[in-house]
Amino acid sequence: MIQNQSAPFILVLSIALLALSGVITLAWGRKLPRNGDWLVGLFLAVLAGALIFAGNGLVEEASRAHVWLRGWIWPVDREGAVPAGILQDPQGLVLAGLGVIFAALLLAGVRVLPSQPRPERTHSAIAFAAAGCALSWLALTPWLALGGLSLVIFAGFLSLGSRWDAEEESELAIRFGRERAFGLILSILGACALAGGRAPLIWSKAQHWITAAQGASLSETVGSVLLLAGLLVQLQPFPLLSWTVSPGRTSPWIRITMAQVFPAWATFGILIRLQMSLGDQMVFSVFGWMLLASTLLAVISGMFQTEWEASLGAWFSSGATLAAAILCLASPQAALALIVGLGLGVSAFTCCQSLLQSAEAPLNDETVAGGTVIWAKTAGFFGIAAAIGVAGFVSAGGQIDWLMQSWHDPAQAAAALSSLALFSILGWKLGWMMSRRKVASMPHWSSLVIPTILILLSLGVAWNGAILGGALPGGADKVAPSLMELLFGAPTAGVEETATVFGAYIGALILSLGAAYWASLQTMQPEGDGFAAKIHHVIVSGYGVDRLAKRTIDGMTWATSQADSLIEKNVWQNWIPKALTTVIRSTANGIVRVDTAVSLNGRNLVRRCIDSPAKFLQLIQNGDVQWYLLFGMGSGLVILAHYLFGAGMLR
Amino acid sequence: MFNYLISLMIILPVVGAVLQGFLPDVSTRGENHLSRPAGRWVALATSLLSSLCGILTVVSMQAATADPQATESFAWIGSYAIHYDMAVDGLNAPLVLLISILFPILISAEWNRRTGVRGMHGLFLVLQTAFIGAVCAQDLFLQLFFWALTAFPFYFLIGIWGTRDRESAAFRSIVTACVGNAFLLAALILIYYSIDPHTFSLHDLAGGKLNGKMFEFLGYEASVPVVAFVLISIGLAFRAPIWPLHGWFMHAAEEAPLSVVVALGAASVPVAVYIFERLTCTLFPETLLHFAPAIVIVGTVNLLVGALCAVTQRNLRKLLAFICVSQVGILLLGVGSLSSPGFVGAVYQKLALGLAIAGFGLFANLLGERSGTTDFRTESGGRVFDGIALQAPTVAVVAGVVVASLLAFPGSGGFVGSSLIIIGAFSSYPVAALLAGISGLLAAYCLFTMYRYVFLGSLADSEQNGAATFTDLTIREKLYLLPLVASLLFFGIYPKPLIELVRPTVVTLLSMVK
Repeated sequence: MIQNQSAPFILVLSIALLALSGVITLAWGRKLPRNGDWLVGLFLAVLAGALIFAGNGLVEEASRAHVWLRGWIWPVDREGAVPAGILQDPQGLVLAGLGVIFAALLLAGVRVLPSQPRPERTHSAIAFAAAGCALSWLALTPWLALGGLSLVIFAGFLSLGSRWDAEEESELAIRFGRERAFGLILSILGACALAGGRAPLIWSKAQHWITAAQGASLSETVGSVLLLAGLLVQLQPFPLLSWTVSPGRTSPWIRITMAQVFPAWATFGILIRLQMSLGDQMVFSVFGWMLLASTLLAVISGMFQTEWEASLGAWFSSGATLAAAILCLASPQAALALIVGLGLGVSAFTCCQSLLQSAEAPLNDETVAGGTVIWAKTAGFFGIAAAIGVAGFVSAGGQIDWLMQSWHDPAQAAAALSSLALFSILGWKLGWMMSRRKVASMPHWSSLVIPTILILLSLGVAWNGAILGGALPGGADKVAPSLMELLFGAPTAGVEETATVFGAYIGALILSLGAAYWASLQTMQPEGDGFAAKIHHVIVSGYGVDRLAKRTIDGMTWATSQADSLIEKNVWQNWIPKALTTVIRSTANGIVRVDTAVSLNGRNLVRRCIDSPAKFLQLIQNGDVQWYLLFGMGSGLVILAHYLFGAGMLR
Repeated sequence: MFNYLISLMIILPVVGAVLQGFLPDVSTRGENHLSRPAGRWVALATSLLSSLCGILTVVSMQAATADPQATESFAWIGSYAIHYDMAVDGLNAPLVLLISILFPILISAEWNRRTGVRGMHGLFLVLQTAFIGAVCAQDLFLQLFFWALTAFPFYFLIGIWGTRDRESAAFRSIVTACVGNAFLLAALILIYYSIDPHTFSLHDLAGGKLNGKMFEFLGYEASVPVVAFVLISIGLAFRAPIWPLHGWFMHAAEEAPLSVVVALGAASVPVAVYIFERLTCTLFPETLLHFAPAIVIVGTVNLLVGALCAVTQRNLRKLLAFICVSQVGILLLGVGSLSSPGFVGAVYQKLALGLAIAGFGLFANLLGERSGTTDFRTESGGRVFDGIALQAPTVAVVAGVVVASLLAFPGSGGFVGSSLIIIGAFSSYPVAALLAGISGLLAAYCLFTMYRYVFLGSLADSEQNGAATFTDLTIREKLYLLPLVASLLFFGIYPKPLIELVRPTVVTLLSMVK
């Protein structure tokens, strides 16, 4: 009998096995039957079983959470500890379970959609994404959660790699990896900054990382900012919009789910826990307003796109940043409701769009209508409704919750309403565009099963037990216990003007539906190359950030090349060798000169010393001189003898 | 623990180097009637045996103690108090592992070299001996002896097997090494004569015995620890390589065979930083404390300049060299932080860095061998390699793991060291830690760009460039690259045993500093 205490170990093991199945599928998937999808499916089932087992353990013990903590890189009781651990709580288990279900649907859907050149890579990516997402939600520490996020990023990179051989696709995949890696590095840097002063850095409701009373030190503020900024980069807000609106040949469904939805879910796994640990910090509200601005910019960029895939990318990015803004400014519950609805809804919509696109009729060809086509379009609309937060879906509760919480603050209320309206306009516009799509053949009914399940999963009744998904104030429509209450506890009391809030919400949705219809009929591309066309180009390209970044890198590259050239080519290869050569040669020449001078002078001195006696001796040897010399010497001796006798020295 | 493992580690490669040089060639009866030197098996076997001794030494070490282990000591030149004094502790254990993993791989990588394989293998074996000696030596003279010995094989390896401008690069490398060693020798003599009785033993010199010692030079009084610290720092900065003294390293990276560049970057650089750590912490703890901000500044400058220069590179050799320069910066940041996590991170990071640099250099070597170039981008920004990931997926995976480790992604060896360094440095030097983050972003930019240019891209273009015939790893290549990749992942996922080995030594050393 397996004990409940072993649940964390089983969870870790099943996540590791799922990741391993991804490795096996990636390496040998082409040789495996059905490109290894059964293997990934098997281990998804194992993980699902482990999650159910862990959840059952909590229910049996009537416990809120189990914590399993181990030292990983540094002893767990020391400052700067980098521990690993599992937080076995309802929130983690449910959301990890949602990720597994989503991955399973995706795995089934890969076969329904038009085939990819390398399906085993997509299967492998699904395994990594599900494992990473589960790890992000179940991790007790930011370190392990960031490890999970890395897996999800790798999955996104891999999923974009079914067409790595194409130039533009490889650029797209690398840009994805690079931008996500930037975010990851910033997050790690932030977590390191926060970890330096405490032991250990773990998610816990009871323990706030920085208590408001003590105030945050500089390193803690910087750490919080970096960690949060790095995580928000994963949602690709402005200025990283360019990637979301870049064209690609990867199936839109694969691209949006693997490269945007999964990373966003994994990121929210960390963000929601982080909000509980650092929610008191000023940095959250600052980022909240920045994210609202980013939502606005993403929506505008999405509105001006000509291709629906580009609009979709911008739309998801705007929705994810909106959910993050709600997390920062309102509550994690509202944010989670929106991101769950958004992920499931966008996925359902994209699945339907992809089905219709694959059956699209060429110009002047015969078209079909009704039957499964109408069902696909309806399911697509429901997907959009789920993502936006129309009453009946889980996201509605999030939108209403935020509106209620911000109602007393006019600025925030206005921002909430306008962002809801703008986000909805872009969503509905996509829906209207889809509704006009003409197809040549009926999609098979079985292909509609997946979007239908996704829509059912996003229904409010499944999450908060209310038929209208929590949109109706007072909870009069509640028919079942609320899962959200199990995850976050009972909601705080709302404002009194609930009817006004509800009215504003409904008004914004209806208004956006009409505005989107009008927008879908307009041509948003100005003709010619005037100022309007230039502005349009800037907006469509993600506000020209790419050009700016390229120029910055070019400038940096030029400056560094110059500096390197100065140091290496001039200083080391030119100046220093020349200087050394000059010094050595000058010194050598100097020494040679001194040596020559010394030798010369020495020779002269020697010559002088030798010349005089030599000449004298030579004269003596000469016969003409001999008598003079004898006379001289004799006279000298006589004179000397005379003086010596006179002095009495000689007797 | 068997007490002669370190000596075996040192002696075996030298014996192998001599033996393999005298063994006759073996002719193969294949199509080409090639004569293969049998000595390469001897070279590999002795290198592997030495490595096995190294791994055994580390595995059999006791954790939770800062005492030197596997000690071997006897008098060498008694009249000058020079001892053959060897030991391992937490500070040098990761390097013993690194050198043990690295050199058999380098010998395997040069297995099929057509010219002078005996000479090259022999010099690699001498290098293995010299590096192990420099790492394990507990006597200043012995350490300098082995450290100086490392310079000569590099001179011949670059000068004989290098590319077009090899003589110049070899000359530059030996001159730089000699200048550096001269500084070290001056410091060594100063230390020797500053203490009575004169000694070179690190054990006898430890514990701040040089604190307050002065000497007179040209009528001025100078502090022995400060002057010796500066001399040692400059001497090692030449070899480390610290910017702007890195010119010789760039030149060598351009001209030397890539396996030699790997030995320079993955062994020489970490060992230089290790000697700096060992000598400064043991001999001049007070001076180290005073100079810590300067070390951090030098480290940060290296980090930024290395990363910035790496962005501009279009050749794998120079990219590798600048990444190395940048990574030295992060090591110095960890050392300069003087905090337990930072210092332990720096010690651990040397191992991870060595393995990652080796991986990078070896996959660059594979590309160079197969395509004849290590440029990955033309001057105009065009491609040189295309679609290699499709034809050689294993090479792409190896490169991916190496890049992940260099970028310190969770689960890779680089993450453990880098995260500890940042944790340790942030509280004392937040700006330096932030700049380290910026250099990380720059590294991510250039490595991802390199990856795209080398491994991903258009198959149609690759056919034009001849890359369509690019073959994946052979069994031999897999055999020597697998341990490297496995080590990078193992040390990233399960660092605890090694960290537990390193931490007590570092804590003891830092307690002397503070």
